[in-house]
Amino acid sequence: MLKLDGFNVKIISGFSGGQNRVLAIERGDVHGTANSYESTRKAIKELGLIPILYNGAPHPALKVPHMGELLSEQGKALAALLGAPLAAGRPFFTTSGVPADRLKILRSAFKAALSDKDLLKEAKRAKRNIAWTAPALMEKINASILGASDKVIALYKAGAKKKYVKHTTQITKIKKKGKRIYFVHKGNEIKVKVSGKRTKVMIKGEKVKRKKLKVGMTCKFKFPGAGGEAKYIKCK
Amino acid sequence: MIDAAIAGLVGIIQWKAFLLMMVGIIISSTLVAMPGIGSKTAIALLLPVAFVLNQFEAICLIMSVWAVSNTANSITSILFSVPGGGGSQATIMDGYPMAKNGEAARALAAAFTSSAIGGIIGAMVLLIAIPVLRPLVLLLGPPEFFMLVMVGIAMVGALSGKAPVKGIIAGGIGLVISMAGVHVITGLHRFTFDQIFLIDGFKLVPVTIGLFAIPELIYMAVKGTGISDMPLGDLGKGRKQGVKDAFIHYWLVIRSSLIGVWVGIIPGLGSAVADWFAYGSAKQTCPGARETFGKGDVRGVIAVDAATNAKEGGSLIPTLAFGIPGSSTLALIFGGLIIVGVTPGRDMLTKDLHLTFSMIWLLIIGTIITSILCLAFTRQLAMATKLRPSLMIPIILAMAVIGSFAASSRFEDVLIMLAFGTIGYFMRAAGWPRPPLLLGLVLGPIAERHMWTSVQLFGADFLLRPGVIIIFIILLICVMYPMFQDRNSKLRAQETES
Repeated sequence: MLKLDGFNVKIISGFSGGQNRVLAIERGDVHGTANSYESTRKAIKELGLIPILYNGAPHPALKVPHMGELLSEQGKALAALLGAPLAAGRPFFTTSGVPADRLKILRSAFKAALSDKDLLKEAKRAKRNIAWTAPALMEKINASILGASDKVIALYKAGAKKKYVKHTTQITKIKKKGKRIYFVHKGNEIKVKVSGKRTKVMIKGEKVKRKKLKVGMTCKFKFPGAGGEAKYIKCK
Repeated sequence: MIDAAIAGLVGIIQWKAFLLMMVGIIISSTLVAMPGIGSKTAIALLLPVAFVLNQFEAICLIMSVWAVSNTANSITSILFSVPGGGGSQATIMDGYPMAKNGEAARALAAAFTSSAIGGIIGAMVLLIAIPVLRPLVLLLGPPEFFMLVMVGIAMVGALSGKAPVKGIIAGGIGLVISMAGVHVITGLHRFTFDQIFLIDGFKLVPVTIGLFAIPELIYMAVKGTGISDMPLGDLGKGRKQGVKDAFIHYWLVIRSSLIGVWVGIIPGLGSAVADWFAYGSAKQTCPGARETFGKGDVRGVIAVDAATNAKEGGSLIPTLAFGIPGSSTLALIFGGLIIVGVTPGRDMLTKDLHLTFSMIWLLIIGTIITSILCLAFTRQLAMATKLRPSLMIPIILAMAVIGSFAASSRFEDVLIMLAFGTIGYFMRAAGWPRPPLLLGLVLGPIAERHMWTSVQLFGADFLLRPGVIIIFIILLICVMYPMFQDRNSKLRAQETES
């Protein structure tokens, strides 16, 4: 999300779990992390980590700006979508079509359960935080997730999905009976992998097997980059 | 600190806590010792019970299952060539040949005794390390972890016996097999062939059972005799000799235990690596080991069992100091212990130091009790090697199938076990070493993750970090030492001849 808005951040992957990320900060390998407040509270206190931004619901202990304030309109919309589940915490659901009176009983019982003395005692022993969110607010959060615009959903998907390049050119070389196709892209000859199952190969609008591809054919390629597996190859 | 040590000891020797520790030990030595039923399963079942206990009682019940699980795991490895758990794979290498030679009692006794000593050494290292736990763990980042794993990969040479080229190829195949599944950095699927069960990659337990147990079953069926066609001799004497062996080779026990502790400190490596590291190191450093290891040398058993039990002490170091669980089992344990207010991290080294000491005491007392219990049944266990094949083969086959299935509750793992059983049979018949394949399978993903994280952080410069260079020098010594040894022994032989 920050990268999308032009911030100079580099994502380092490979640290499994929040504690490993905090250890990487302590060691000086990385300069920050994104984690839930409850999981990071101890590290903030012990190591002096400084919260910079938050997403999701505001926390009384956090006096920092919401990350949406620093982002573009597009970034704000994306932050709201990503932050909505964080604000919801761990929601409890029931099935659709439950009569209103029963729903009311369920909700009041749930609220009463969360203020049960024994439960709170157990939670205190386990150093767990218990908080209740009003059903009206939960419905609002739910509506904001489900009501996200197509543009925001597309942005979200773009962040999670592989990015593809489209390019039309001639096939320069074929290897392994069509499993590897070579062509010129940005002045360099590159190859793409062609899967028998996942790559859609078409010649003159007809779906064909990859071995039908020939050197010299002019085709439109959709691929993730040099060496990647092509999404489709459409030839004239 | 002395007050905390006394408080920790008093906490676990109260009658209820001690009784719960005994329950944990018995569960660990019986159920957990069966192939496929790991300590994780037993702990998951016991966690709800722990919620109503006090801190010491919960520690005694839950941690005792884990702390001693590697001791009894060796039983099935030695007797049937079926590893009882991830940490007893390498025990097969010399334990099973010893059982075949009629020395099952000696092998079992040596394994149990070295387990006890290893457990104590692991706990002592943890005790000594308390003041320096945090700086020690902070010294090691992804680049150092990567190079430490490389030291392990260098063991391939040692585990290859007299066929180094075959060993390197087998290790390479293991690395390729380890790549199946989701790539740890990018999340891409590799070698999954659109099969859902391959998304998790190949599990270690079915592969190990296939490679080691199935070929033995085939050979046993062809031969038509029990595991051992040698006379068992005086079982009491064998047991005594096994106990003695662990003390005679005390330096090997200490060395292997330290290797175990070192593996334990590195999160993610686990018992499945500690045993091979210790075995490989023993093979490289023990006089004459290259000729005798794999044929029933008690030193092969001692090294492995000392290391796997000592590992538990080491794995508590990152867990207690930073809350980073050294293994998935420890993650489960501390996930449960948090409920009773035992929170890993700085507090365990300051205000909750008495709880840390209770864990250290538990490691010491637990391993001693478990070893004595197991030693008491050595004679009865050793007699299993004389059972006729018509009884043994169905029992071992059932254990192999259950063990493979229970690891992930997937039928496909049984098929994987059978496929690797076929591969293992042909490898054994053609004289290909099987341990390097396993080592490649275990270390591949860990090496890859640390390498890519290091590259993202420092580029190729990660290789120039002082820690990395020091570990690389150790790696070179590990590789070169056996070569010098060989060269010296050849020169000595030439001198004797002349």
